[in-house]
Amino acid sequence: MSKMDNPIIMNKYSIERTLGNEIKPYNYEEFVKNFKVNIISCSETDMEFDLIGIDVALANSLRRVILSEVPSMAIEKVHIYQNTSYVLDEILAHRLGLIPLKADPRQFKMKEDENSEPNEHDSLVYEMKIKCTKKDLDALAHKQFISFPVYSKHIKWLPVGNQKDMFTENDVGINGDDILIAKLRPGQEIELKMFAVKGIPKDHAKFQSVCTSWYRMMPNIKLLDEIKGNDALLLQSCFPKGVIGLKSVKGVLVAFVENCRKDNSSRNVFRYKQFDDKILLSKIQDHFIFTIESIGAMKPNIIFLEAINIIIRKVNGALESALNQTEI
Amino acid sequence: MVELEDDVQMVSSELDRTFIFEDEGHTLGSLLTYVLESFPETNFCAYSVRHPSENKIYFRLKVKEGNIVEEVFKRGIQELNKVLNHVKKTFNKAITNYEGTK
Repeated sequence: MSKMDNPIIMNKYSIERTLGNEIKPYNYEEFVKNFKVNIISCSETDMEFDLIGIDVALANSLRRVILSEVPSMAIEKVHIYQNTSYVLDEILAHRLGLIPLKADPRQFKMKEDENSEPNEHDSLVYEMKIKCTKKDLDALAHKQFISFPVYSKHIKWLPVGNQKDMFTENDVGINGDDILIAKLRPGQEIELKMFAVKGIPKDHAKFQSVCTSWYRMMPNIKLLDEIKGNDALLLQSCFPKGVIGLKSVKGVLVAFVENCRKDNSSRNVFRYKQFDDKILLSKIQDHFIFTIESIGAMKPNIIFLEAINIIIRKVNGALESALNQTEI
Repeated sequence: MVELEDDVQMVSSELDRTFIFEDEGHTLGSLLTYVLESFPETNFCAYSVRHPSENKIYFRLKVKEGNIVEEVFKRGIQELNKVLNHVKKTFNKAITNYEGTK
């Protein structure tokens, strides 16, 4: 592979874009021919996949939409009937808002009027009634903890309308039962009702359906010269584990590139003079390693599909808006 | 606040238009420019966010003689729809394959 195939070269102090390798203009036939998706891993919460043959504009739009426009459910309003704990009302309400919910946002509608009564299609209602008494303190295994911790498991879901037939506590409850909300001293109590609605993370980060989502370009490492002996060991130590392999040729250790994907592009290798001009680090500009970490309400592959649907809606909305614009 | 619209060309023509998209940003702007600047009919295509507190983008499209700017724009949207649907289809296929091998 020559310099020409590697448009983004990582030099010692700079990143070089070689001429003649600018990002190719869009062409549908070319795109269909080259585009590939490889799923590396996919679980309930994490997913890593490769998007190959895609432009940065599209990859970045997908990332932006996943982070700021895929909706989810979160607690929006809290009615506090009693709060004698040390946590102030507004701080308590804010903490409750940030608690992740299991509810699938696709089964709910956006609330049209903020002040309307909650109904079964747009809201979820939760309740928490807790009081710290002497007995609770005795029940604790560790007597030195004198405050009674309030966890998210103390929050109870209250079905609205026919939600009882549609969902179970397991579908729409709190995601994680050991989230600390407050700590109570004997005699203190909290009694409140919470209203969760559907929203987008642009309005508030609590509506995010991902912990984070990012992409990186596929690194490419090329050894231009044979690196042997102690230098091979040194070279291996410059990269994360598994990037550089060693093989024995007639009793001499020779370094070879084992797995580029594991490289984190640290460029540590340029600290050593002996590797100057012996190694070429570059990035493959149309190979994106995309990672989505879901909070748990939706599977990460569903989040990605939702993002695509949102972009399609956005694009068609833009056409409609453009055709209605008469001025300018 | 200074009127930002002042430097927008107010003469609308068949060849050159500036569209304004409310509540949109780089997500839409970069996608549109990416597709539209690749068309042979396009003379100039760019977008800008005039001010970070203004939640809209100005999208300018200029086409070569003999074309209509709205038609080119419409074609751009169709192309984008095709691309996005292809991404969706390929991704769905990859997921089905992955779940099948698991």
